Amino acid sequence: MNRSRSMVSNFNGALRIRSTVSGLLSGIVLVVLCLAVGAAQAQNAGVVASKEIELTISGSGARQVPVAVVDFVGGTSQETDMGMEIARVVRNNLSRAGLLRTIEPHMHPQDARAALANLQYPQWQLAGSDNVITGRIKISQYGRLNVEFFLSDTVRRNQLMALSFSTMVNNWRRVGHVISDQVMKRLTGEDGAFDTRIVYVAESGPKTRRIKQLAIMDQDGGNHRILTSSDLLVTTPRFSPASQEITYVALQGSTWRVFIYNLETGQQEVISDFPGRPTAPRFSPNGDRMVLSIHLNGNTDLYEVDLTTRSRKRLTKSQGIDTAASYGPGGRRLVFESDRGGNQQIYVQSLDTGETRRISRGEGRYAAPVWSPTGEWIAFTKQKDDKFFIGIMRPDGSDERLLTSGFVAESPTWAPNGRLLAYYKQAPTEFGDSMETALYAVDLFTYQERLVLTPSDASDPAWSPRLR
Amino acid sequence: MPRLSLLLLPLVLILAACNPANQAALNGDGSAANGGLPTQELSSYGAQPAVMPGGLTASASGFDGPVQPGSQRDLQRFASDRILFDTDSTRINQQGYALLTQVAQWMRSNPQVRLLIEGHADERGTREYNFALGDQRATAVTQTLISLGVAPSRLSAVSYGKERPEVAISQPGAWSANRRAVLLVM
Repeated sequence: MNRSRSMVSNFNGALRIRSTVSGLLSGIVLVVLCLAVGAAQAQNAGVVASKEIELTISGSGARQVPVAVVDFVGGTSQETDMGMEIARVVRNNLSRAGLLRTIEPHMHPQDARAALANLQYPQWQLAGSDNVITGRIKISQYGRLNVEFFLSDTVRRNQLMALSFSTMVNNWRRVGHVISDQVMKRLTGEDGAFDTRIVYVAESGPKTRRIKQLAIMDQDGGNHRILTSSDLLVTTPRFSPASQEITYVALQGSTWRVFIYNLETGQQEVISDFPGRPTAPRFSPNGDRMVLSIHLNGNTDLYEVDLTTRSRKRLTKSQGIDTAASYGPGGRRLVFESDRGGNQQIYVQSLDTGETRRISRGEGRYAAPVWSPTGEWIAFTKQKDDKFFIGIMRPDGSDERLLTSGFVAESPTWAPNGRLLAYYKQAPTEFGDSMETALYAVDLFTYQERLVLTPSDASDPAWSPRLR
Repeated sequence: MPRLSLLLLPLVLILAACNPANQAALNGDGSAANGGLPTQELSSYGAQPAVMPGGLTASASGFDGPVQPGSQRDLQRFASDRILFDTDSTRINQQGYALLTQVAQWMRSNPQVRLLIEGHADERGTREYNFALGDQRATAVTQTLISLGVAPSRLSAVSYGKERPEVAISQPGAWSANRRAVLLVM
């Protein structure tokens, strides 16, 4: 097998971004603005103590930057429709961003064409919109889409940003996501995670014969598709942080196998042709290695697989269950759960020295830790008093915060910006004989939780790295 | 209306299984006194597998007809194809050991039989941990059978974690039925 580990993303056709700061338009002034970034960072989450457990509750204390997204202007009806759709994608993204607040279209003082031609700053400022996004689109006879977009500051009365994009027409949603990331960065100083995707397990059928398929969608639910057939039972998909590859565990006959699915080629590859029963695989930060659990000779331990040579190295030898490992940002440290001390707790192990330290300290069971891409936090699932919680703690175990709870709440996954966390929650239905299973995401700045809509029940989300 | 009663049925059955006084409501053949219910639905709530063996793997024909030696139904009748576990435990308890002793004896009488041992967990654990728990349970059953004289080559194992509950209800009674190892005749 000649597997190249350094991948160049080319999903759905390349998207070229051309900055037109000095070219396309005259009079563009790029001013570095210190908008409400400080205020946004200064806000703290409201923490409320319940009877038994502290739960950091939802609610935004931040000043949200107001922005209006005007429909993009086109010449033909196809262009006009697509211009409205792209604006809608941007509007939905930004309204969910926590730090931003979008102005309802019916509050816009100018229509799209007028706003694009001659933006009346005072009118927009009066309408409460400190920032306005306008744009125009053109579709060539060869099916190529060209989009120009402009971000204007109505308070300082200048243009902050002008960009032009060129891509294939069927890639139009990505244009909306890229614009959203650009606006987010410009107005808040924070990296967005709009130009990303989420894989998850689409669930259907009765609980005792559940059908579980790998599915993928844009982070906002768009471009949804199912990737695996219904006869393959799929669990615990994980994105490579370095490429458009997914690893997951699936049942074939009576054997669980670890697969790698390449989204660009559609190829699937089994990598678990070794003794023992494998679970819980996860890629290293640069995607050249994988950590997983193998049940062998009556014990479940962590192993590391070199994906180039396929050589295997045993990492733990404890009595008990060592599983659900995740790499730290440099790839030289692991966080994992183990019941070696009696019940499930979280441990950090150095891959260089082997030194291992328990970091979870609170009451209850701690499981499935996931290191954030920035290294600042470790997300985890906690079980206490017959409930599941999703929480975060520092890599030394300090500063534990619980973000949400449920009958079941597990499988946290980090967006590449390290401030959005997705997971799934499950609750019994009215009659108690089946479950509602759905994805949620929480923003660590605002602590706002939102439902991520999927066509069917959904579990085990895994966030992609940024698309390139 | 028929749909509603189907939904309520499992609740009734769980209550029946939890309360010994309600056992009288079941006929000897496992059907409900007043409902004409399918046999396999009732037998799947075996809190006591020695008394009510079998489950979803029972054939649609139920327990009628001749039993093929060395078949799944033969195993269910002679011993059990279900071993239950305590919460978060991988230990074979006394009842489980007694059943596995019978299974080992049955394996001696049916030397052609191979078993797939499935380890299962209830829904009150995290997914990865439950896979490992199911693995440990399947291994515990395997090692017990080996210690009772069954050749290792006749046994294979798989964990289903919490992916394949036998009882769909989210209640403690269902959870105890789902913490199980299932012995499948290959």
